[in-house]
Amino acid sequence: MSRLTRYICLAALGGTVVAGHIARAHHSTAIYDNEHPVELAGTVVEWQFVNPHTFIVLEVSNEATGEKVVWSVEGGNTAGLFRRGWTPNTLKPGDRIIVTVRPLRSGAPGGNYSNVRWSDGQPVEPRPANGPE
Amino acid sequence: MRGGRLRAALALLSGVLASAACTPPEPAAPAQTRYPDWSGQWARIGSLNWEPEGYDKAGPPPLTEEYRQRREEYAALRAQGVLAGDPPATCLPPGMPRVMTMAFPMEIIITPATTYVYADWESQVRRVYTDGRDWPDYILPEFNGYSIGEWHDENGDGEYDMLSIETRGIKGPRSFDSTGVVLHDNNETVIREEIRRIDASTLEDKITTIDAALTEPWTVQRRYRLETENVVWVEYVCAEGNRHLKLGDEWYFVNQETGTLDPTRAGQPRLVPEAAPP
Repeated sequence: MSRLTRYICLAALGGTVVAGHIARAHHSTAIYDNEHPVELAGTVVEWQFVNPHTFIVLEVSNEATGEKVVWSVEGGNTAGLFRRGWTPNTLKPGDRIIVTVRPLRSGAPGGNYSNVRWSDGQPVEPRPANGPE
Repeated sequence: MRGGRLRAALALLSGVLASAACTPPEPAAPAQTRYPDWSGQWARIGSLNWEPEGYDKAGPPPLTEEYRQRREEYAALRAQGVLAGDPPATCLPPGMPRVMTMAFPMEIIITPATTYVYADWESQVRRVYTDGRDWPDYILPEFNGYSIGEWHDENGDGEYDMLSIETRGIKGPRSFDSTGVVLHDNNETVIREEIRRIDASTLEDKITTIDAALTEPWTVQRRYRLETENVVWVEYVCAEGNRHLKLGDEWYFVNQETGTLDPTRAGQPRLVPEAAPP
């Protein structure tokens, strides 16, 4: 965890209950550390609306060192998200967001995301599914 | 004139009668049992564990000692970050019976000769033959197996209301769910199902699995809810963006952004492709 914490912009949630969807469909989430979620704030590099899981490629800066790390975080499947109004246009490169991430147990900059918010803390709540925005 | 019309009418009548007498009568159409309307989008009710209530409530699966130990070994590996005992993680189809957990919705298309069970999960189709055929001499194994079904009219109202299915010839590797409950390596599983619509909005599949990894036939009753709002079908192509790669016994997280295979467990080296020679 020591390597991870260098990149964490906000405090780890500890035992706080995390609102939001945890991707779990076609396989187990065993590779992610579900017991130690972290909050990441960063800039969207790419929003991949693909199966079996969507991915947010997120550039996270360490405010102390200026070091930038690109995270690849896995989320829900396209069917579930589309039914809730998400589309390939919901996030765009340059968007500033905050996500809750259960990191890879290995310490590599990857994980499983949920609870996507804009940088002001407001939840990303897309419109009902009706094709691309 | 009057006599001419009478003769013509008699001639017509005699022709009609002769025609009727010489044409064999149409056989009376047999009473046709109607097929049920199971159309629509059916979504899973209950857990993704094979036991719909989950193992905490339903108790542990009836595994032989060998497969119970194997499940524990898989659990220990998962705690380290290895997706052991969960074949769909690499985009293999779930196969039978796991596909019937319906992680994603299903659609049932009924024709007299075949009933198709379409699962959004991996865009898989189960083809259930209801044309009265017998088992073929050889079944080419497939993940969903070879299914023969029979319709039943349980309440005798002239409409089929239950589809029984037997499935054999199922290919592996397969697991019941993502908790390491795997089916026997011999892939000689036999699965018997009874599908009924138990009310307007609920379909039930009573599924009995006979497999050498089990101490006894394992029956579960999975249910599906008829979706009526926001019904959309979304294609599912697992290979499109899967990041989970198994090389030998090692699992990696495919980091498309850095072009590396990142470790999933502590102490596992990251694989970085060698630079192409100049």
